[in-house]
Amino acid sequence: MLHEQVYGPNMTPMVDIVMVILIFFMASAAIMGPEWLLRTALPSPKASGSAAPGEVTPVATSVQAVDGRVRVVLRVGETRRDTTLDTVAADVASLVKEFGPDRLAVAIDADAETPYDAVVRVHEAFVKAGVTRIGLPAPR
Amino acid sequence: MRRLAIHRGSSGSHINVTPLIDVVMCLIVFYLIVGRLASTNGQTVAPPATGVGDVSAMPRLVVNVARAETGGVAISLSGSSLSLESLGETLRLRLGDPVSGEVAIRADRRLSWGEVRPVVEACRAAGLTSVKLVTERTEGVPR
Repeated sequence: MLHEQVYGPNMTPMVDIVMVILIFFMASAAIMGPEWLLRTALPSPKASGSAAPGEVTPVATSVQAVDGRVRVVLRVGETRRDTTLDTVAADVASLVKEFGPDRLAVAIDADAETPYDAVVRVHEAFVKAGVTRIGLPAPR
Repeated sequence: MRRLAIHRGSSGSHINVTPLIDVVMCLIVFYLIVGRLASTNGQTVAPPATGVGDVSAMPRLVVNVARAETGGVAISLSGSSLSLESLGETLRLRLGDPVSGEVAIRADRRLSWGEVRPVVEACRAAGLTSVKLVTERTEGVPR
């Protein structure tokens, strides 16, 4: 029986390399993919309140854990809004609608017992609403 | 009659580089994975999950904050364990004066703010004006 000689490119190296590249991208996606970054300002104590009056509207946000529940207080001037983690997004959206996202300067403060997760979720609510000036003030 | 394939050429022999490429690619992948795992220094850090975030490149300096097996807080900077007291000085040395570069804080979601805050204050004391908090991506859109 005669064997026909096969002419043409050798596919083995290409298959090898494609497989390795596939593994590489799968590993990259699994390891590096699932993380995001939230930029947070760290104003120095001296810089607090350095913005010109009327330029920005400061929003003092305090997060407290009381009896296992997280309470969030938003203070804009003399106005105070008490809210929770479940409703903070709606309150932040209301603030942004009233003042505009570019005019709000948010300072997030929290008690030591507050879960870190809650602080990040409050931060996330402001980022989602389009606020870019978000910071963690120096402890008093 | 069987036809034999005859290599024609000057010497009739070539170096097959395919296994070399295979092995080198595998080594690159291996070191990428090991390097990534080593940056957490074996600590299991589960950052808070968010539906929004920045997809920019991870800063070179990443401070991992996790719950230590002994019950306290374990801090590591780019794979090296260090104490909270030495974190500020180490950051100052690594960032230079004036400060150039960025720092990301990858803290575990199970920690309290009182355990993470000293790390944030060490970054502030090192002269940083901002940090990036690492979060785990859930459904959402990047900002």
